[in-house]
Amino acid sequence: MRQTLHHFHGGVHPPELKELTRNLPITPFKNRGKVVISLNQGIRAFNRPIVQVGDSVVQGQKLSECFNPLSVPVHAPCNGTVIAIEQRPFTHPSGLQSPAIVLQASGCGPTPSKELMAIETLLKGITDEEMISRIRMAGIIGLGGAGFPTAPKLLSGTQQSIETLILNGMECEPRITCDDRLMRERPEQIIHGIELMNHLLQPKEILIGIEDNKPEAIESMRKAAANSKVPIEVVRCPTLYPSGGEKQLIQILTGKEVPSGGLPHQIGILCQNIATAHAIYPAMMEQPLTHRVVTVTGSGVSHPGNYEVAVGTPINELLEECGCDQPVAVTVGGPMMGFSLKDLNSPITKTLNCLIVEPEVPPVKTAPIRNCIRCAACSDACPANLLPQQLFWATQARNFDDAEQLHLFDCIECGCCNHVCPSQIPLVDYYRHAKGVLRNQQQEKIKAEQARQRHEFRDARIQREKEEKARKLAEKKAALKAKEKRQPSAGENGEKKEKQAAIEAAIERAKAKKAARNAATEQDKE
Amino acid sequence: MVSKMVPHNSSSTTKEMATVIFAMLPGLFALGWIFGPGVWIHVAIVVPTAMVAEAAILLIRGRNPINELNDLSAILTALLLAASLPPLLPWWMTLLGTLFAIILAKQLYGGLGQNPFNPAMIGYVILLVSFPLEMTSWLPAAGIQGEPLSWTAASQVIFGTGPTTVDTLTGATPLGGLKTGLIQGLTLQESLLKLPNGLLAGPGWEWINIAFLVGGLILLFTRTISWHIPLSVLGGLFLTALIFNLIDPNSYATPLYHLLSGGIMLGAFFIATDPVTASTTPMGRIWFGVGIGVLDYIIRTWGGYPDAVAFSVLLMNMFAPLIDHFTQPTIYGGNREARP
Ligand code: SF4
Ligand code: SF4
Repeated sequence: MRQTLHHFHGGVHPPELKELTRNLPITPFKNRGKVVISLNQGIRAFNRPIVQVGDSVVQGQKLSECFNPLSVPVHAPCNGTVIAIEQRPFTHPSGLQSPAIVLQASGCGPTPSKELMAIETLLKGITDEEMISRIRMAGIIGLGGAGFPTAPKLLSGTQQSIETLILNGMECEPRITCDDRLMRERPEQIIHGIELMNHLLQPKEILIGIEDNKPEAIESMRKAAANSKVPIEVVRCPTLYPSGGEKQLIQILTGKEVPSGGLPHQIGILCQNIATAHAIYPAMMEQPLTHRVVTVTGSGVSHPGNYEVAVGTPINELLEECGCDQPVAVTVGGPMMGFSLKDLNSPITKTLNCLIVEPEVPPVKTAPIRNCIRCAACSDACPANLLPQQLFWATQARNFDDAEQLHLFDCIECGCCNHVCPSQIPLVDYYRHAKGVLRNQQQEKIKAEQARQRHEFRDARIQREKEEKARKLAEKKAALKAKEKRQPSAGENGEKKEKQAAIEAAIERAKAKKAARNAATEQDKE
Repeated sequence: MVSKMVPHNSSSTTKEMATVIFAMLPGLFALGWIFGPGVWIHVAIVVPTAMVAEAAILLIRGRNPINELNDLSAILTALLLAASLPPLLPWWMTLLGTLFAIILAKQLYGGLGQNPFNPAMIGYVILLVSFPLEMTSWLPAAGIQGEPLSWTAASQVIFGTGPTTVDTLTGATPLGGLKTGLIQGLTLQESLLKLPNGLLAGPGWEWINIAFLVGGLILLFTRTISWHIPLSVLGGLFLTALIFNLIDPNSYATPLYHLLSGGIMLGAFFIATDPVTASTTPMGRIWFGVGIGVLDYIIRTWGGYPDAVAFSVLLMNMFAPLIDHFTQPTIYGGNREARP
């Protein structure tokens, strides 16, 4: 038993509101309509489709190629026909469009057997490289939030020595219950995934962190862990938002802090979400990640629940199934960190864990936003131990460089400061905006640098060409002079020839002069 | 506009101000009991004046006055001023102080949250510098000596409408008397004896300070303020007083005397803790408080004024940004270079 748990600074206790869905089992959602597979899987690089309109595809078929090492391919979640490859609304705070493959669903492939194969049999003859490549080819990315691809994370883990493998089952955001259900219903598959990662990373210890508001999940995971040959410890952690933030969880379990701007593997720790672990076992069986569990909650639906949904399902189709028959406002993700959805046609993505559906009412009069009274409630609550009030003053005054000095980029956008601010200031909005501006500035700088290099290169080329021309001219002149010198020795009967030569030379000279003039004007033009 | 329904712990500036106002009541009642109804007359002057002044300026600035008046901060500033004034100060001085506090010290800087100096203390100090005699004339502690001042007498003095005048009633505060005695070359004991009813900290004042301490504890328990500032103000004063008292008990009063005299409890719990003008980092708040405590002792003991909460608070207000700058907490993950 782990004796000491550590604390992180600040944190808040928002109402959990998990009761609505925490006891509802995972229900499969059958696609009948369209499926929109976005080629933008949360990474800047887009995939290139390898199917064409009219092709029929089967469940699990790879639909795209990816070239960026940090991206993963996408797969068909069901049988069907490609009916379009076009721009579609994407599930993103900005509501931007993204290229997508649109399928008309026509049924499902065979359901994989529920029996789990023993790890030893499974891994017979498979190298580590092959394992990582299968994980990548199955399209696995972190299912907990940021969506960082799992394969490169594991790869960097194999290259460093990882002491602690942490599995994040905290699910600290209010309302969300999908990980809770996975841990209660499919602990064996999660444990299998952990064993596979253990095989790759060979850590000294494996810890599963679960908040104490999920006693059933703790129980179920403990039972499954006890059956495993690998020592896996399930750690019960006090409920405190945002304990499920990667950095906070690492601090709680190990007392270590990820260096600012660094990654956990630099301090010998690798952290994976339990839903990601759950997806790794099928990946080894070469079944790609095409479905995920999504919590649908809120008073805008009559059948809230935890649905296992195909990635790519348009959100409005899922909502219809959940009994949503009124205009609604949808928040994607948890109430603390999620964003409001612009277009209900946007698809379910791999990182989407929760939809909060509330009836769309005329905007209620919320408490007015007041001036900051410098009460420091926000800095007392900030888990990154920043000074949100000072960040706010800096970003409000558009002193973005000052904000950077105040460690803007260490802000994890958890929203604790918003939660406690008595003046109701939407602080995180300011930080997100400032981060965006600074990132753009950075991009601009890179672009300017590239432009400068291009310009210098061009100048150098022109200079080189000029020199080349001048050299050629000089050579010609020299050749002419040599010829002139040679002329007198041509003999007396060469008088006529001499004359001719003189004329020719004159012509040559005129030509050369003209050429020089031309060159000069050309130079001027340039 | 908040873009989505974010769960909020439903704290609000209005609620916090209301709690502080509520917590001032014990102290105000103690003042009223000890020094007569003058305090309440002041309250009746300052609160409407503050609200009208704030509303007027908000209108001029093109803001909706209702939206901002209901944060209650103007009322709180007014009450803090009323609690600091001598109970029989002429009404127009009180009015003037309030106007200075609200208009000059608060609204001209941009309103709530923007002012670098505590508005009530600015109002107080301007009055103190302009009318030193009136501002240091305190009543003998009537509540203790039997003979409470009547409402009529109090209002006659304040509004200058009757035979009772300030000279017949008032005297120096114990702190002032103590200082005069010490300057005249008397020892501490002798000076204290010369004062009427020289109890622990001068007659009546200990009760006022205890009452404000009670209010302060309410603020601590409702988590309206954190312990950093009050504890460090009182700690700073106590330790400095202790050191000098140990060096020369004949010339320097005991720490307990200092803790229970003048406006120190009001200052430590209600004035120094004004978040707008205090330091905002945890370590900064401690330095800020210690600074006030020590300065208070220095000015009380060697300065030209009998009490010094107002000056010490304003001086430390001036240093608050600097303190903030040097007391940035170590962020999660250490203090590495900020990254783009
Ligand atoms: S909680 Fe709000 S009002 Fe208080 S210091 Fe932070 S930003 Fe300012
Ligand atoms: S959103 Fe950023 S500044 Fe606010 S509490 Fe979280 S980490 Fe701190």
